[in-house]
Formats: sequence, structure tokens, C-alpha cells
Amino acid sequence: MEGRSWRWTDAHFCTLPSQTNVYGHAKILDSDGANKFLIASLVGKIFSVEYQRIFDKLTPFTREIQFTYIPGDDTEINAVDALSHCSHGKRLIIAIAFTKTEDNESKQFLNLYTPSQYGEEFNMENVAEECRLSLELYFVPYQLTHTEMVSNNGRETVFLLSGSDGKIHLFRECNSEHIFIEEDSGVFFPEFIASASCVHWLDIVYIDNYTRRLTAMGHQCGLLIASIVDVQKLEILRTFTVDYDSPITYVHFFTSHNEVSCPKFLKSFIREQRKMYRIGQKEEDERNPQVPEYHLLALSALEPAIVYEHVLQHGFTHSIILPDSNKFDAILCGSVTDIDFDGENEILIGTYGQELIAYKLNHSKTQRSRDEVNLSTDSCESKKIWHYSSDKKTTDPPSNPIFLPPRRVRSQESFPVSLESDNDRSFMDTKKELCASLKELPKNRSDMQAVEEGCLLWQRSFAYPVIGINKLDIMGDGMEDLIVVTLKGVHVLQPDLHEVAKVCLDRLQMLTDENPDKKEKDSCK
Amino acid sequence: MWRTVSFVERVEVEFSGSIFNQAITLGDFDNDKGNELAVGNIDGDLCIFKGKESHPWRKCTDLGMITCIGQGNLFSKEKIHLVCLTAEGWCHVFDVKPDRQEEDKKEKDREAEDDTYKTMKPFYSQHLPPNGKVMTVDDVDGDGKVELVVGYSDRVVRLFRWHSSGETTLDMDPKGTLTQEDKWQLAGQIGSITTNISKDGTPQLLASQPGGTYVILLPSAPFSLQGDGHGQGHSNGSRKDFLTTNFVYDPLVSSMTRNSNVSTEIIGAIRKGPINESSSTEMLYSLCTLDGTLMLVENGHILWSLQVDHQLFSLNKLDVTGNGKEEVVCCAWDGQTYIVNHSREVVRYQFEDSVAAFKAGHYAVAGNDNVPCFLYATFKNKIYIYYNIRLPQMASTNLIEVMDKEERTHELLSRLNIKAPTTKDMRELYHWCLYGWHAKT
Repeated sequence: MEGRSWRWTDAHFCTLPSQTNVYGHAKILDSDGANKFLIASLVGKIFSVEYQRIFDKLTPFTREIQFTYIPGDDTEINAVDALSHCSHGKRLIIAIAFTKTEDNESKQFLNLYTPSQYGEEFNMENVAEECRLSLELYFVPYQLTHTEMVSNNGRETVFLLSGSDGKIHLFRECNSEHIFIEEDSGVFFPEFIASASCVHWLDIVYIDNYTRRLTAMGHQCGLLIASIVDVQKLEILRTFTVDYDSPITYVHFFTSHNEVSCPKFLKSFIREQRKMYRIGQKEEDERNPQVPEYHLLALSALEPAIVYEHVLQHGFTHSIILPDSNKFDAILCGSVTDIDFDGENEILIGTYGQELIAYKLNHSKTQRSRDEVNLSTDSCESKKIWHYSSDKKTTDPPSNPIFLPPRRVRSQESFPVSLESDNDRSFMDTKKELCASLKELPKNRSDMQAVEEGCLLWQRSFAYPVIGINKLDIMGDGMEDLIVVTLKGVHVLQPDLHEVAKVCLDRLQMLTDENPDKKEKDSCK
Repeated sequence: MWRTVSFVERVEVEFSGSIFNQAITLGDFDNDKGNELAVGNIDGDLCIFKGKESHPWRKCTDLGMITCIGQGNLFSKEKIHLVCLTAEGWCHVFDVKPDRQEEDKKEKDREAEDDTYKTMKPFYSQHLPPNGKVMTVDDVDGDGKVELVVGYSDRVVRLFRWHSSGETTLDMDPKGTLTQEDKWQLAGQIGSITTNISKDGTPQLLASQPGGTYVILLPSAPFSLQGDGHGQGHSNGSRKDFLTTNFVYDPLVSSMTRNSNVSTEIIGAIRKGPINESSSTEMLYSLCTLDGTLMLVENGHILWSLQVDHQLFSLNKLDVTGNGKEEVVCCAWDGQTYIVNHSREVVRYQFEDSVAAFKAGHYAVAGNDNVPCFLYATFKNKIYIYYNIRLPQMASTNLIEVMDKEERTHELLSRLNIKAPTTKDMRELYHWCLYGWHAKT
């Protein structure tokens, strides 16, 4: 993989008649591969971006979806969300929060759409026609998202809407007639009670087979709360908080690796092969299901992006600063995906300064001695680093210690001093210094569990501020495309497919190779 | 629906005044292998821009109403010159000097010196018939020498050739004159003139005519027979030209176009494949009309045509995919730009402003490294150079299609015992290949 520079370019771009906001887009996942992307422009128009086959040619297709009960000109769409499955089977449900201005008075509403007709569960036109709930809201809607809720009846998917009243509102489908009602979110999500101000971004993941839940709430006041909740007892097991000086714009739990199960039709082949060569390897699916290590990406508008590692064990004590991430105006959005197909996830950040920045985390090992640390940083340097062009002024990334003490004080003093220095140096220079400083780490730091860092992998400018980064297989080919939302349009980004094809071919070749064990070793080199 | 892309990287340069579409060009005027941008306005200002600098690198003023700017080694030397034509009929040729060496700078460090250095002066000027509106500087007859072909607003095309009257060295002003060698009187207004390589490998001169048509301007073969008494054929040869029909009119698709009077542009010598490919030297040409017809033509046969709802006014060619085939690049007044390849696959780009002049070509943004670029001159005294115009492919495609074209894929799949897989299977397989692989290593 080394030496391959993954340059993602526009596969398609669609313009919007008016600007959109950070909550104005949603992914529509369809198990048949016809994934779609929903984008709302501020002035009451909602578009669906998808790919269709026309005359056997893959063709990008953008169309406006006319949702009923959304009046045209005097409406501003605040947030959209879509979910493609629910307790009553596979069905598309679209939620839209909007503001309607009438006689100089603005009112907020939440509309929910889902089709009732059997067989038309995924027909967008049908969905748009059938409004199931139109509720007036007495707060300004912010993020509209959905999550699963574990109750006595099993698992069900609910909509969550954060509001200017500092609460998170829960909307639940109450019976099979597709009626939605609002319920007290605190009953099912006790961690929401702690929310201090308006929640800008909320992220929830379930772990340990839906027995525990990780919830992160990023607040307007800069407060970041992460909670571990026992789902059955509805008890908060642990809570971590940290206070930032600027609003939190995005929080996201992620793992450093993706777990993708082998396709069924391949499993038998691999099994046969293993038998043939008597390789005493356990079947992949027989391995002990390890609890993946969860990390938290926290983006605050004006501060460098931070990754809190191993949140389950360490809370907010192990953090990595992504160097120079705050040098392009406010940070607005993020995403975690594998953009170079090496099996490790990269972190993508979008800024108001029209930049998309991708960082690679050096996650290869967790427990390392000092020498290994040196090695790893060297290898990191040898990796393809995207330089800033010379006219861009870069400042020091945080030199040593990247390993930050837990921050609990609302002040700049707790920041590394080097962040404020404003020397113009190239990225490589600072990189070398960074590595040098790591080598000179004092002895007492050698016992630290992990010295990790993010290095800049890729950077791309856009014509407008980047307000959303999504990974979605919109082309239906198994590769996740990047869908970047800017203030004025939607970009579908694709890497050079011939390069991706080479990677695929090489890996298939390794599979078919007569001695997989040997080949695997080769591939590790 | 056609694929749309967006370009971001751009250089913005300041240039005021009205610009004709033909009065802007990209070329290596100082012969340093890196291309510059030359632009002239109707007030007589000619500026050359280099690199990322927003201010002119070289400048010349009071030239007259500049209608066309071209480039070529008109004086049959190795050096490329900048040719500037005005409506008054003046043809100015500039010898653009590269930047001084470092040592020189130390010696003469004064600002005033610098200013005089920045100002260019034409090193050759000649008064030709006025009202030239389109121009091409190219070897149109395959004799290895470059000719100057000018189309006039009175539907006349004149061909001029340089006649040297003595040895000219690089530093001396050239001695000699541009003399008219040929003349064509056409029926309709001339949109543009271009050269194309015909089937037998010889260049041919094409001029566009209203309504999506064109004429092939034949060289003056009968000229020597008839024009004995006219010597080298100065302006008094016009009578003869008028009598003979020395051009072939190709109505092409005049029946197809919506308006037979609509102005038409033509661009020739569109490469069909990489340069080294010896199989065929024949090249394609393309026409566009203001009412939105775009077509690609090979030897009089229309390969494809396209109807769009935009007023196409500027036609160019550029290899944006890097496969050796040149794509047709067409721009409309409202900024909508179409990139179309030989198999009619379209990619669009919307420039966000009205366009006064458009050009696709190569420009050296940093150093002497030429990169493909689009050039938009707006009505707001700004010119934008979008550089790094590169697309991996024209058509929208996905991994399954790309893999399917690889022979190895089918071989590997059969070895993996995967027979007749569905799209869903392939999606699952590739997804696992790309994201689930760490389990294997």
C-alpha cells in the first residue's frame, strides 16, 4: 500500500439552490445496494442524490422530493434524518424538522413520513406523500438523529431531536399503525438528564451485545459528556466530562479497525484451502469476539481536534491532538472511515475554511516500550505525508507531549504552550522535531501505555465551507464513497478506481495462492 | 442526467477592459517550457501573466483594439513569438524575453529599471487589412513554415506568409514582410478558423460558417496557373480569388440545426489517441453553435452531436483524462462548461459567473510544469485560471465495472470457485476485500 497516494476526486457534484446546514443531510441505507443521500437546502427544498442505471450506464441522478405539508418559500429546513428499518420490518421513515415563518412569527415543526402501502416501503414518492406526524415544537430544533432503544419489548429504533431548550426529545413509534408520539427521553436514556445546555451533537453506540451503551453529548457551552450506561438496569455506570472553550460541533465513537465478515460463498473456499494445507488456524468466526476498543473523536469549533482513546478504560485521560486541525477556521464536521484501504480507519475533518483534512492514527500497537515508540514514529514519517503548499502558513503541531493531562479547567493555560507559537515552518520540519522530541522523552514517561499521534494523510480544498462528511456506498459497488456536503452543494468523491482494483486483485490473488500462510507473511512486509 | 464536477484550485488575475474570445491565449512566449497567459483588451492593453502572480508579468499598452492573440514561430526560427492583431489592422509581433538571471538583478536593482523591463515593445509591426476578427498562426500547408491566417468581418479570409529579406538572428529585428498569399471570399460570417489533419496526413484549413456548417479552404493550387502576372500575389490578386471557388462548403447538418444563421465555432486537430501511435494521423474536428449544438466530426461524418440549453460560444480541446485522447471542451456565456469525450460521455462544470472569454489549455502554475487548466475571463475585470483539470475517467463508473474489465478478475473468481456471482455477491466480496482484510494479515 505504501507509495500509493489516494487522491479522492469528484465523481459527481450537485449544486443546491440555497445553502444547507450541518444537520441538513441524511443517508438512506437500502440493503439492495441502492443507497441514497438526502440533502435539504435551507429554503424548503429536499433533494435525493442517487445513482441509477440508464441504458446500462451508471448515471448520477438528483431529484427534488416534494414532501407534503412542507410549504415552499417561507420554510427553512433545520434538520433531516432517515431510517430504513424499524420494529415493524424494513421501512423507510424520514423525519424533517423545519421552521415556518408566518406574519413575522416563526414556528417550528417536526414532520415524520412513512408509507403505509405494502410493497412501497422504499418508494421515495410514496414516503413523501404520507405524513404521519406533524408536531409543533416549542424549541429550536438542532440535531435530528436516531438510535436503537432497548425496552421490555426488545429493540426499537427511535428518533432523537436535540433542542434549544437544552433537552433531547424522543419520538417513538407507539404501535403498528405507524403513529409516532413524544416520550420522556430521561426514562430510557438517563444520561440525557445531565445535559447542561443545547446539545450540538449526540452519538450513541451499543456494545457487548446491547447490554451497555456509550453516549457522547457535545454541548453548545463547550461541555463534552461521555457516559457508559447499563442498558438493562438503565443505570449510568461511569460519566466523563471535559470542558472546552468553544462549542462542540461533532462527537463520534469509532474503532480503529472495521469488522467485516467474510462473504458466505468464500468461507467454504477458505475452509477447504486451510484443510488442504493443514493450517492449524481457528476459523475466523470461532475467534473470541473481542470487545473492540472505542475511541471518541471530539471536535470543538475553535480548538484542535482531539481523539480520546480507549474511552471505556481511560475516559478522557488518553488523548491525541490532531496537529493543525484548527488552522482552517472553525471545525464543523468529521467522519471516520478507511480511505486508504489498509484496514485502519482514518479521521476526516471538515472546516469552515473550505478544507477537508484526513489524519492517520498510528494505532498499530497499544503497549509499547520507548524504543518501539521511536520506531513507530520514524515509520510514520516515512509514510506519505501530504505537504501543505508553501503559501499556507502552518504552525507547530503540538510537539511533545501529545499525551495530555485530563483537561478539566476552562482556560487556555492547560493547553500546550507550543500551540500558541506561530512560527512558519513546513510540515516536514515540525514533523522531524516532533519525532526528535519523542525520542527525548523523559524516562518517567516511558511507562506510558501509548504514545500515539495523528499524521496528516490527505488534504483537499473545496469551493465552500465543508459542513458534512459521510461515508456511503452510493454507487453500489462495495466501496464506501465519500459524500462531502459543502454550503452550496454535495460532492460524491471516489478514489482512482484502477488503483482500488489493483488492491482488490492483489488480495484475491493472495487468497487463491497455494500457500496462504507464506503469502500473508509477504503481505505483512 | 450528466455527471457534474467542481474545480477548486484556481489563480485569480486582475485584468480590466473588454476581452474578445480570441484575444486570450495560453502559450510559452518566453520559451522557458512553461506556459504563460496572454490577454489583450479593446483598449489596447496587452498583458502576460506568469505563475500565481495576480499582476502582469509583462505589459504593453496603446496597441489599438486587440481582437486576436496568437502564438507561433512566424519567422521560421526556433523561437515562439506572440502575435497580436488589432481591428485597425496592425499585426504586432512580440519577442518576450525571459526573466533576467540573478546576477543581472544584483547589478541593476533599481525599481525604474524593473518597470522598463516589464514593459514590452513589439519587435515587428506591420499594417495589414483592417477588421480582422479571427486568426490562426499555424502551418496550414505542411511546408514546415508557419502562416498567418486571418478571418475578417467582411467574410474574407486572407493568408499571409513571412518573406524574409535577409538573415535574421535572434537578437536582431526581423527583416522582411508579411505578404498576402491567398484569399477566400466566403458566403457567411466566419466564426473561427482552425487547422486539421486530414486522412492523408496533410493539414487542411477549416473555417466555420453560420448554422453549424464549415468550409474547407483549399490551398492555392490553381494560383500559379492563373496568377502569373501577379508576382507573389499582393492585394491585386484579389480579383482572381474572387472568380475561382477555392473552397468546399460542407453543409454537414444544416437541416438539423434550429437556426441556419446561428454563429458557429470550430476547432480542429483533436487527437484520437496518444501521439506515438502511428496507426492513424487523422484527427477529428468539432463544431458548436450558439443555440446549443455540439458535434464531433471525422472527415465530414458526424460521430455524435449533442443538444444543450446553453449558448455555446467557445470551443476548445484538452486531454483531461490523460489517456492521449483530447476531449472537446465547450463553454457557454453563463459559465456552463461541457467536457465531452469521443464516445459522447459528458462531464459538466458550472463556473459561477458570466464568461467573456474561455480557453482550455496548459498553464505553468509553479515553475515550468504545465498542467491542464481552464481559463475564464469574466465581465468583472477578473480572469480565473482553474488548474489541475484532471479526471480519472469521463463516465461515471464503479468498482464492479472497473474490476469486470480486468481479465485477472474473472480468472481469480473462477479459481475462488465463485461462479456467476450476482451484483450483491460482488459488492459483498469487494467490501470485504477493502475493509475486512486486516483479519487476514
